[in-house]
Amino acid sequence: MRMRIGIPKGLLFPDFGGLFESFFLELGQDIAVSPDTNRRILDLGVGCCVDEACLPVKVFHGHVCWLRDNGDCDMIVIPRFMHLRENESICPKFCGLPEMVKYSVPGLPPIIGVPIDWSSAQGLRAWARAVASYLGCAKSDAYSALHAAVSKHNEVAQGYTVLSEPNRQSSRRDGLDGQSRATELAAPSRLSELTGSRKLENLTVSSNREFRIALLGHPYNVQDAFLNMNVAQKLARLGAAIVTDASVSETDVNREVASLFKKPFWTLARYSYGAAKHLYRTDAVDGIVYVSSFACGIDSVVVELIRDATDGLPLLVLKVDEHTGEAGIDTRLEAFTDLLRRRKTFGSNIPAYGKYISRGESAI
Amino acid sequence: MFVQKGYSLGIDVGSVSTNLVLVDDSGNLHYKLYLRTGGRPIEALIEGLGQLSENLLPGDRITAVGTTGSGRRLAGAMVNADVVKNEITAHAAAASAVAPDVKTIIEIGGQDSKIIFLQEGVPCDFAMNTVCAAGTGSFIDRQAARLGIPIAEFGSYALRSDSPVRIAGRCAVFAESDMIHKQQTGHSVEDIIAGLCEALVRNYLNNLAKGKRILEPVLFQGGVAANVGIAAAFERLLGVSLIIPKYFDVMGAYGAALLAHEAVVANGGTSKFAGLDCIKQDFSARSIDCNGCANMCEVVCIYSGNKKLASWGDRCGKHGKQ
Amino acid sequence: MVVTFPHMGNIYLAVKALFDDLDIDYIIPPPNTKASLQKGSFYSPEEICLPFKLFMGNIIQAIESGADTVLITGSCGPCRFGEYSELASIVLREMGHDLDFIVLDLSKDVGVDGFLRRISKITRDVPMSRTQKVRTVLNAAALMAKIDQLEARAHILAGYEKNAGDCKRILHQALARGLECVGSEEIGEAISAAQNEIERIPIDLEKDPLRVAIIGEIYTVIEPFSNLYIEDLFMDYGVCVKRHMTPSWWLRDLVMKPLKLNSLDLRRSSREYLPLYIGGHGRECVGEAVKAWQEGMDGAIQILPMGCMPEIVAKAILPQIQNDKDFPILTLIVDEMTGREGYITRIEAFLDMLKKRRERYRGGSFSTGILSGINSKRHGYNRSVRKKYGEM
Repeated sequence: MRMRIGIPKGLLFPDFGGLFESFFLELGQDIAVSPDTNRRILDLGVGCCVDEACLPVKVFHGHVCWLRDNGDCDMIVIPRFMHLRENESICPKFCGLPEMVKYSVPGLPPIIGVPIDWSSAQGLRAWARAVASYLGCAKSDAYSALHAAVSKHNEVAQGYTVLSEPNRQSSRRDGLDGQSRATELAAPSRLSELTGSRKLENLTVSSNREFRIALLGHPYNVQDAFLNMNVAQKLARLGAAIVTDASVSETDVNREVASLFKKPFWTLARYSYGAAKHLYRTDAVDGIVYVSSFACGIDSVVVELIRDATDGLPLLVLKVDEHTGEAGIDTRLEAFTDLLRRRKTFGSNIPAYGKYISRGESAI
Repeated sequence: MFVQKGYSLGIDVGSVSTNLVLVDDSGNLHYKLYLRTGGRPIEALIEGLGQLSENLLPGDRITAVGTTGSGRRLAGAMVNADVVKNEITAHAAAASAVAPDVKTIIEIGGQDSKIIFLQEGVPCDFAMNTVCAAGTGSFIDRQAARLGIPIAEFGSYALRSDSPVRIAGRCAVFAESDMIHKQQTGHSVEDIIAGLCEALVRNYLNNLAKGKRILEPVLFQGGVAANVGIAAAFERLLGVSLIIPKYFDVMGAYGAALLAHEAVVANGGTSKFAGLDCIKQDFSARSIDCNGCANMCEVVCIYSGNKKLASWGDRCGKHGKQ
Repeated sequence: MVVTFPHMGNIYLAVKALFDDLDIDYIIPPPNTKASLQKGSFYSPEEICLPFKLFMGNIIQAIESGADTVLITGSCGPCRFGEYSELASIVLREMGHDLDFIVLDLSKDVGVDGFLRRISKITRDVPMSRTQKVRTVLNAAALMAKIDQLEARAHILAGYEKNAGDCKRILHQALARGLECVGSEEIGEAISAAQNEIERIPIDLEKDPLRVAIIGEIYTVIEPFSNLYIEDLFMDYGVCVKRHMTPSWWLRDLVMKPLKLNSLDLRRSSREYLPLYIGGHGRECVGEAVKAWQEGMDGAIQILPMGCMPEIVAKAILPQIQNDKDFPILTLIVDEMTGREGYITRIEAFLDMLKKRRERYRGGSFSTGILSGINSKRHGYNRSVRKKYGEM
């Protein structure tokens, strides 16, 4: 039976949405995808999601609401990413996302909330198998659909690629040798430039810029232009060339995080931290803008680690939530770029207030 | 001979206002008094009791006393109340007395706001605002003052707007700065006030009523119920019509009086009330750091002259039972 | 080497017993107070959760008294607790302290070997055989279990005591006496004495106290300072409290986890609502809520620190349990800004609500008095509730 599967365009959709789309199409199903985040989706999400959750999770709830109201779906897939890399995770909310949605959004069609372990080929196949049996499709169809979807995903995405015939051992070896990402199993590279961050890419090309700013944070905060009030474009207009963590190779990130007391276990934070430190040490950027959602538990730690690892580099932490006013964001970004300009003119011996700004958003 | 009439006295000492009511045995409200607490609860209560005694007829008796509000323990110690109850229970009791079939109570007072859900007159769920003062009476007062509008007209400004602006604000400080910004970009006062009302109501609902079904009848009480702009925003966003009780501003005190009456009847009919003459005593409150244990609790002691009436806040038990 | 460790409930007594027995120098940080919280918050990132702030307060105070090694437990996420040691070492380095962190962890990455290696950092100079050392550790674990039992018993009996305050007094006196003793044997005797004493207090079985489960984030339910001494409060009110999370539960869970035999009861009771582990104790919280309902408790209170990621997931699920099972659950969020007044108001209102519900379930008439005269209709009440009440 042909079913219509809803795919919410929230959280890690820019990186993995394409894979879901082609997987379900290959399986012979119909799909419905929610539009880019907009005011209405945000309001829907804020209206039903538990209040203490962070903005991107609320926005995700909004996308699910939108699909419920307009998607005419028989089922909605809520990706439950358990691991992107072995023994690492993203955030507890990703592991419990299907339950959060199920018990917060009333009137939903059935949910596909099968756990996804992206760190191994077996994990991915198990996911495909479980989803197929849920939909009443054959196992063999599931595997071939997954195979096709993965090949397509790897063709397009430079980010989280998967070998078409992956096997764990070779991946480990490749990882150790520091081979290029394409040959690594499930090697994630943060912003997949060809999907979610196409806009960012255009901005980064222009080399003739006054200064370079690293735009870091959880990818769903950095990529969703509505959620972060278009911070990338704003920075570009203020004369900045933007560097994201996609520009830092897996090998470099691995080297940078090795100096930590403890192996970090949040995959996405690991990239933010590794990239920040690498860009700082190679003197590749003049400052860092870190987009953080209010009440993000992970950011409260990672920002401190980054601050510690990039001593003296101006760091602006932009807090976003559903109450954030655009005026406040504009003020902070302007002040920050002014500061970078002053540093360029007067050298890095910036006046005292510069240190203040670099300590976070509180001063401005 | 005067006819002996017994009244239950309800006292609600909040951070913004101190309210007193007299309720007869069948639940009719005979007297109400609304005073500003002004950060001096003892003085406010003495003032209130003084005014109250002037209004009593010879032969009127006070047969039960209940206190509620954030100063309930202080007031309870001063008058030796029969019942010292939290304001959620008091508001629920009052509301179901006014409207026995009430299902939802929206209460917004000076410093906090709450929502109470009832099933057949029994509270079955409630929530109280967590961190912030935005959306409460004092915040609205301040914004009215800042815009130079008398608070009584604040709500009617909102009703005149046809395109409310969107005001961002998780908390009072941010809401205010966003409002100032909107003002500077040239929005009309009406639109800003309407936007503020809507933002406050939206915040209230997201904060307190998330995932809950708001069933009618819905009572709206607390000082902010006087604000027609807020009431209209609630009705628009909820799609229900609100019932605003006649004595919406003293519902906490009313509930305390009802609960006190109930308790006195259950205890055999005698009140512990210290009598209205108690206001002649020299009350004072002192807070000391207890050194009974390493916790260094801050203990509040209520004195009448040099006699300690009550104290609370310690963990070690040195200062008497909580 | 002078070892210190952060507070969490009564853990300090068991750790003290252990170090006494092993003859290791240690410093117990002063108990959590407003002052230590202030100190901890000052040096912590603003948005970090409350347990970290208290943890920092403890460590800094212990350093001031001469500690140079910190013993803490760890995890590998995804909850922030796993990063505590990393973050703390950065903050302390900035303050100019150079400390050794010994992180005890039994997760997959570390393994049993790694665990023993880390412990041996402390115990290698102890002149004891390996067997003796293991026995000492087991003694301390047994003591912890004993303390937890005493505490649980006091929290139940407080609902039935004839002389108000007996249970609270005996419990707190026993803990204070334990602190003056040396070694697991002496402390164990003090606790045993209290256990005997508490069983002999006059009780009134006619009393039918409210029974409330405390669920939620493990630190904030166990460490009384962080939950504003909610269990002491309930002892004062004469309400029976049951808490599943205890230090000894945590130890059992930790040991059984590699065998996947941990908390089978909670796995079962949480299956309907959250079938997977999500980090922290989010799944346990959901399981405890269902279990409390199955056991016929009157209600449950979830306590979590502001911003706690796993508990936020649980908080999103609890309303569904509340609706499905008609089982009241109150969520209390604590951080350093938590005002005592509002906190207590909520608890009191919750207890009032539970009382009224009982009256209704038992077919009694609830009237908000006098005037409304609403006699609630007799309710066909929840079977499991009736059964449990019948037993009591």
